[in-house]
Amino acid sequence: MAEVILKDIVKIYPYSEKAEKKKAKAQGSEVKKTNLQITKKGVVAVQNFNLTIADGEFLVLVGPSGCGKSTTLRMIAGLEDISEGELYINGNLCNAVEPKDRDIAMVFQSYALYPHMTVFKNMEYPLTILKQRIPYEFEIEYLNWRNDVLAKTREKYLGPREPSRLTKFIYRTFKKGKEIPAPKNDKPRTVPAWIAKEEEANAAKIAACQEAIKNGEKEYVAKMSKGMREYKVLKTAEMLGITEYLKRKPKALSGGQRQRVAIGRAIVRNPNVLLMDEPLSNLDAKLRNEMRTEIIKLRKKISTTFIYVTHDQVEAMTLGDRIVVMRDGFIQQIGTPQEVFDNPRNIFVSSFIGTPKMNHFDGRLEREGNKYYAVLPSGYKVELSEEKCERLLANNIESQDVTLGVRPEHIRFEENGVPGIVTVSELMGGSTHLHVQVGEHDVIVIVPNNGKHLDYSGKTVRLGFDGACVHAFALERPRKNLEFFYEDYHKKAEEE
Amino acid sequence: MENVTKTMEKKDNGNARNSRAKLALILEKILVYAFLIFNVLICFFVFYILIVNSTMSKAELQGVFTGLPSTHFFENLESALFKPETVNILQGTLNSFIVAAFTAILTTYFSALSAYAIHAYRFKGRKFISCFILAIMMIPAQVSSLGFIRLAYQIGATDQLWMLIVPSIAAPSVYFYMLQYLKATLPLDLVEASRIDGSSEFMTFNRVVLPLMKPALAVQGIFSFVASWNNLYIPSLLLKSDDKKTLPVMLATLASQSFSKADAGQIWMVTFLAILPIVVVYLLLSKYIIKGVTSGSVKG
Repeated sequence: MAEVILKDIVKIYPYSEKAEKKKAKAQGSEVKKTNLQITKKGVVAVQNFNLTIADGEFLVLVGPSGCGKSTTLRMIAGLEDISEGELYINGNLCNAVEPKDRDIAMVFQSYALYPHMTVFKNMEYPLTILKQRIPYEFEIEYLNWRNDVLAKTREKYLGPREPSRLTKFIYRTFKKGKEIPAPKNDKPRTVPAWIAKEEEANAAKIAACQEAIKNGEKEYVAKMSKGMREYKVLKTAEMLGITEYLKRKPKALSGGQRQRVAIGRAIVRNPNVLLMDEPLSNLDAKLRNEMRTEIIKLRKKISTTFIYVTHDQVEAMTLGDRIVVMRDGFIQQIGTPQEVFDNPRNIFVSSFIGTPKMNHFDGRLEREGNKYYAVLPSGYKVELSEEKCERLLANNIESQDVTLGVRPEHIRFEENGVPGIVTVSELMGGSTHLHVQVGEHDVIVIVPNNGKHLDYSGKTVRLGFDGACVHAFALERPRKNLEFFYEDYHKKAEEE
Repeated sequence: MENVTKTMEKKDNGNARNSRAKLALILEKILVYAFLIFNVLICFFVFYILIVNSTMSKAELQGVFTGLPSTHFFENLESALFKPETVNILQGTLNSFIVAAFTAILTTYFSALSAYAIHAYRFKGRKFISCFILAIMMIPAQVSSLGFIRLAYQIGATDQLWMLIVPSIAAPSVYFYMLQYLKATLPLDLVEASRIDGSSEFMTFNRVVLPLMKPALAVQGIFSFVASWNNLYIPSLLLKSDDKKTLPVMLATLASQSFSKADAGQIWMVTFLAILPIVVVYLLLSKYIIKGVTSGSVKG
């Protein structure tokens, strides 16, 4: 529903007086606990964050803990001040706008459901406070629903008289099992006047809405009426499959159900941007997988910009349209999951994305004319694919010592390969993970099972890889992928 | 066979030891319960004397102490409610109730409000303010009352019930309790969620935070109600006219009458009437009191 632009966003946590004193004491000693930049002003949690999030995009911020991803999200939500830079939501500068006026919703890791309210009240709460954008189509839908409800009420009045609540209560509590007698009063029943009145009013409203739609208007902003709120909550609850829990309090729900309610409370008012702060990390593994698919399904149903924070790279890969990999407050790489997986821009991204993580070993990149070769110390030599050679040529890379990276699924058995001894062989079901001791390195290899499990442990295998799947990372910091030398996201930051 | 008999002997030994241990346990329990019952008796003895004495006539009270109830209960009741010349007990009860009820409400609400501010907001001087409020707690009421009475005379607010009510907004000890309770029970995520859901800061407090603090509010409400109900010191300094006096002040007036004038049965009766509402409140709300006192400390 909205575009979010972050321009040079910086977050600095200023020192408290105590911390400053400590720092004065600690000066001289070279112990550095974090890699976060420490400047005169304070600890920099987020550094020069530049990103444009497209309308309706699902963006995932991923990184190890303490990398600034949650801080970034909280800045977008308005829960943290932005130290420097500009934040635009839907074209409006939002640096100094209150969270409630940003038209965002957020799902918290701890769910943050109001414990004293029922699920229904929890989901209704945001609707009761602020004015909402109400599309005319939605209002027509609601009025039709309301008319159905009214028709049912009318039928009730026309049908046979029901026993009063008091008799029902008495029979339920004191005379269990006995049949409730039909009421003796048999005067003809009348339908109360308010039903007809409301139906009339609803018809008029529907006509007004249709007129407005004809005139090309789409929505209006107003506070929702009680009935409309009820309809909206019921509809959202149905979408999330929590209709049966509406009368319960959060205490009586399981983790997964609470998570659904939290998501329901966030999406019930159709926010421009939906922020999710590690929403699945409090769930157990099985539920997490389920909820992940639920979120993917949900995403297809509602058109909202999603910003999702996680430290789990599997969630990042499966959910995101685009992934932002962060570390120590810096963006490491932005790209589609495929891009990030196939072409990691530096050694950190290569090891962070993908399980089991990429194998790294010392090697050499050798140039012979227009061809490049990856060479291992043992003499194993592979020609790089044409695509890679072109990129390396464009960057004018000369022969040099590098760290070579190959993903476990790309390592294969080869007759002339590097010999190694299998130390551990893990059966994972469809495939087997082998830990192979090659020289000093522990190399992980994924071998497909093809229906039978072979126990490799203790055996000597010869390993090799394809020239299309090997990455060369520079030895000096920041350890970039040599193919993408000039596409540097943080050049500016490093110069400072 | 020998083996079998040996094991059986062992078993018997075990059983004997077991039963001895059980006996020790039972004895211990009896001792503990005896001690507790003794304590309860001491506590109830005071009330018993009060009730018994309120059923006695003036003459009986001046006689030998018997410890048995007498038959003058309704006489005393009548004389307590309608006889005293200088004070009107019913008016006093009403005054006390007004002061105590408003005090309870203001104390709990504003203490919760300030505790919430200290807990949920980060602002400069937060620690200083927090310490300052606690420092006020160290000053005894007798010391601060001096200034308070002077202030009351200067603004001409003596002999006014609201002068007893308004200062109760500042209640450091209640504030401290509320702060501890909030620290244990209120995750700040809730506040942030409410903010994002669109509520203003006051709405967040009234609709999300206050309902969560219900047990704490109940406990502190009852405590401050009782404290205000029993308060003699400040009201006796402040209240002059008879129709403004609260119950404890009236009781003091009655008790300080000359010996020949005073009706001891009547005074006992007034005392009995004065503690009655509090006993009722305690009996009705004891569940919440226990819940509130423990929940703040255990949850964490």
